[in-house]
Amino acid sequence: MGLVSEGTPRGSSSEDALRDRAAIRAVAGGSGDAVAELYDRYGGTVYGLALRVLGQPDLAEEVVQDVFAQVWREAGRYDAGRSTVAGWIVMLTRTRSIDRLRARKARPDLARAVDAIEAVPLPSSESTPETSTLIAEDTRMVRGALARLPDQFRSLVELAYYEGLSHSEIAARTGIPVGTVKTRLRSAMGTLRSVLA
Amino acid sequence: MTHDELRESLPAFALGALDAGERQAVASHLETCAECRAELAELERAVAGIGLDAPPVTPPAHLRSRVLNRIATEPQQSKAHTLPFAPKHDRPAPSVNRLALAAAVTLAVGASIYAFALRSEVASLRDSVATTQAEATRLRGELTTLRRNWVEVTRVMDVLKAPDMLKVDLKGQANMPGAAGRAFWSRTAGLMFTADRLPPLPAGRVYQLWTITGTVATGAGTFTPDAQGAASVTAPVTAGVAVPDAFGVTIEPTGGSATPTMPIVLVGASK
Repeated sequence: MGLVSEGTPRGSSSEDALRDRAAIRAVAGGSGDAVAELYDRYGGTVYGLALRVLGQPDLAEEVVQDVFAQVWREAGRYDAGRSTVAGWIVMLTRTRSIDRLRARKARPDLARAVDAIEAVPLPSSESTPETSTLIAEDTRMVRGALARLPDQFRSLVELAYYEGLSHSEIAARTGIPVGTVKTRLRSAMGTLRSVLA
Repeated sequence: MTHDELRESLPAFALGALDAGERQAVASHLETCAECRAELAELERAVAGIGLDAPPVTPPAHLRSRVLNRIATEPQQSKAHTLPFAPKHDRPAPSVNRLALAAAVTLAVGASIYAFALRSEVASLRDSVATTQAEATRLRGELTTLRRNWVEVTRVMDVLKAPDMLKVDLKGQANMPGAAGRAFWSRTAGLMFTADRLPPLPAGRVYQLWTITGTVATGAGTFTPDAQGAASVTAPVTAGVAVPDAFGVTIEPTGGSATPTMPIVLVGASK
């Protein structure tokens, strides 16, 4: 796999994972400093993903606040056996963003007006050096696999992921039969999963 | 839905793309299926990877203090215990000594939290090893059963495929009119017998199958029907014996008898 060649040394990712986990334990123990530490490491990731889903800086900022407040409240329930801290935070971000997206869709006129006014800022090219080999590794693998997926597969994954659409909603949106939607999503996810093995 | 169908829905579940009914079914299956939970964890990693594909964007500077102010006002859920370094708000500036002390406390607490994190890591690894071992034992048992069944099936297939296969239907006699049986006999491949609608027997009694040639009855195995009254027997055939004239079934003491005890309950002639 030529994917791993560039960039950071692989060995450091488990250190990142341990450091993140120690930070989460500290948050669970009531440390605000540890929340700040996680914010410094993942704030840009959370904000970037929320912007990608919502397209509006003010809503994305609200998501960032919601996500770190949730990390604060629920750190005691974080399950290291299920996901990395980075994965957990990204999952919370996506869920919160899609909740907001749905709430906005409930008011389409307002949303359209706001969309017309807001400009999406350009992504920052730099991410903090700490942001992070751990992210880098899984992401590089998944990103590579995502980029290699045929369009008709990738677009369905993105509709599900970034817009939170279900099988039948994707079918209604794209005109693709629901059975085909299911098969393509399953096979696309199989590909993404296989690069992480 | 079966385990396999539910497992097929896991990728969509991880993506949050299932419609409500299916999502519910998968969620409750996950509560009892460790295999699917493990699969889901892998898929969730892939899903997280998709999210990380969105490029990080430096948030506006004011957001950091907003986040930290907000958590200062929110209570935590399921707090394990309170530590002596809660989020700080408007405290008077601490002296240098107090800072050093606070740093030492923070380090000590940090180290013990780290140790605690490692300990629970070890505990959870130990758990999954135990689960895996239990699973392996179960699978080994299943494999043994399957192997035994496979030997049985092979033997039956051999009888059925044999070129010299003889098929004989057995009818229940007056004392057992509903019962029926069928014998497949091959000199080269052996004997297979199946029967159904057999009445249950009292304790200490079994059915015994006989091959009858002329006036000589030879025992060909004993059996006990299942709850539905069905039973089957396979037995080797001694090389060089004559083709049986008939097959019969009697009721015998457990272990079987050397000669049949009358009356005969099932019988069928080979021509």
